[in-house]
Amino acid sequence: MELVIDRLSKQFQAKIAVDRVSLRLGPGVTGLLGPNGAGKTTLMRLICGILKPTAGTVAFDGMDAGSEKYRAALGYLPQDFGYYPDFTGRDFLMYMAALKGLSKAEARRRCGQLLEMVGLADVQKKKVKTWSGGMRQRLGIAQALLNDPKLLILDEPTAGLDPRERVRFRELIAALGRDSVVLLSTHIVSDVEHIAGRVLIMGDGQIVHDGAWDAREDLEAFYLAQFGEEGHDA
Amino acid sequence: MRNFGTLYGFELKKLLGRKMVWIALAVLTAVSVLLPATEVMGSLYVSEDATGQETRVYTHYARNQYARTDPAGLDGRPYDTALIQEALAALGLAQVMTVPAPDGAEMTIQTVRTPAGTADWSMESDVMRRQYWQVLDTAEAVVGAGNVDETLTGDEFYDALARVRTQKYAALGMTAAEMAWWDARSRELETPFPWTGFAEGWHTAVRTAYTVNVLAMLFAAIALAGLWPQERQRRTDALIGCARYGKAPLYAAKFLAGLTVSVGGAAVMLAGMLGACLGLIGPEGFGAAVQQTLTVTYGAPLSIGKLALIAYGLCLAASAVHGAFVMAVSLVTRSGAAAMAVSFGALLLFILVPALPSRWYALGMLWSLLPGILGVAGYLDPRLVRLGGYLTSLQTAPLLWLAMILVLAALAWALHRRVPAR
Repeated sequence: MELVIDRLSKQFQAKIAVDRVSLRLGPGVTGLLGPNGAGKTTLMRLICGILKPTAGTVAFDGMDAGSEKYRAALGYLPQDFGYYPDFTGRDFLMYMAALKGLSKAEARRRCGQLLEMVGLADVQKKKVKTWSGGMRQRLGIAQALLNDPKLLILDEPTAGLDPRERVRFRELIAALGRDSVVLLSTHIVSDVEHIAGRVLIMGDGQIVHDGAWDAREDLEAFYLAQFGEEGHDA
Repeated sequence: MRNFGTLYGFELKKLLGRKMVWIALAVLTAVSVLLPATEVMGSLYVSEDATGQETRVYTHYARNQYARTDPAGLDGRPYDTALIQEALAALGLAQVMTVPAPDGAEMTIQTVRTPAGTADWSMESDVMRRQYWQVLDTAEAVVGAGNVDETLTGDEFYDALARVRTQKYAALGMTAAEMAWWDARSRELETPFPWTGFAEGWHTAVRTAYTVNVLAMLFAAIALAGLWPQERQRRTDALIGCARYGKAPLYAAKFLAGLTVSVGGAAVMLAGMLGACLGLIGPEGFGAAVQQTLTVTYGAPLSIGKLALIAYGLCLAASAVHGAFVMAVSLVTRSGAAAMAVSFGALLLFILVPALPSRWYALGMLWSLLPGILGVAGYLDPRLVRLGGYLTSLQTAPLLWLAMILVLAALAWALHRRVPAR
């Protein structure tokens, strides 16, 4: 199980958002840090096949990022995702399950499990537009896990969650990393510190640090040292 | 099969979950019902000679109900010398008028008698007059105004009809082979053709089909312009775009759901309109010949009822093209408002330019077959399309529209797969 990124680049007119990034990610949680505009979200969208790269390739276990098989193995939580105001939470998950190729029976079972897991079972029949931001974020996490993804891309998964939920989801992500490739982008350095076995730091579209991380070390201090004064918003 | 049914169901739910779709459908269906209803709304008032006071003679609804009984007893009569002369006798060639002649001089013609005063007006006499007027109108359309008199025979009428048809074909620039094709069809016509006493319900159904076509275009623009742009605005496009079936299967489900809503909306409007035509005006006269009710020169056997059903079928097919067009434009412009504006613009263009000059034969014909254009005149347009054999406009239009839907779907897919998520 390996995600292989080979000389991946993305250019938007004059701006190079991702610049010749090459990586190999195996099972486990990999943290992705970097200041705003460093190219983290663009890199994740390239990995998810939402954006077409200007150059380079992305493959998971030999499957190209544009293929249906690749998408079948993928779970993605975008930083800022939308919902359908007239769908209930359950409708939304059933819809996403259909999109992810689950059969109806399988979708019902999996939706029930995930709604319980994210603590939304009692509000599942209410329209999503009546939910709080934190509840929607939990729904987003649930949809990303519907297909038991082997490749999980999480962009700010704990944003909007209260501290107790954040810790719970952090543990959940760590558990998922035992038999999946998980790439976790966040501004909350302590989340990465606790669960990521490997840390990537991006700056100006390039990977400026790639290495294993020992939870006993102070990641925040290391991160700030990479960017000096400019690294405060990470 | 790739969860197509489930995805299609959810896409329909998304579309039908929008209040605007239901409001638009309710308003446009109400318009569809009201249009034929206006035929039987209101009353006839006649001014008294002495006092100038207006007196209500009858309501149009009551007059229509009476007309349905065919008081003149014309139903099933052959359109021949006897019927023409009976109509002349019933209306009376009482008045002599002097009118400008084509050469600039003056000529004298006889006209039918019109009611002179209040005493002449009654619902019964008015309905009879209208029935006989229709008989004479048909003759006038063929032999010309002023030539309908006591000497006109049925044989002269049918000879003149054959000549007028040929002149019409020649004026349209049709080839000898096309004319021969129509001649063969016209030999299938029953001569003298049977007259029908009352067919107003079906006649109105045919005339109003084009209005539903226009309303269906409006509905498609309102309901479907946001189909794809809203996914971008809501930022759901990234989620669905990286899902296993988020590309081609979802596109197909979405496109089909859009077509379903477009066609379904048109079907509701058509049902409302047909219900009003047949329920308020009357279902009699399904078998009336289009030569009696619409175009006397039409060269093939066709009843007004059949034409109404064909027109409504075409309207449903046209609504599918409207839907495909709006969806394709929304993908090109990536904006619901822009897609709606372009659709309304196309609608205005069709209304303002209903036909192209006849010298542009092929282009004019193609234009007349566009789903936003085809109306009563187009249904009975004698120009033919050579596709294997010869096809009439009623046969060519659905084939052309199917091709248009496929091209629009392919074009929209080509654009859709290239557009990145936000």
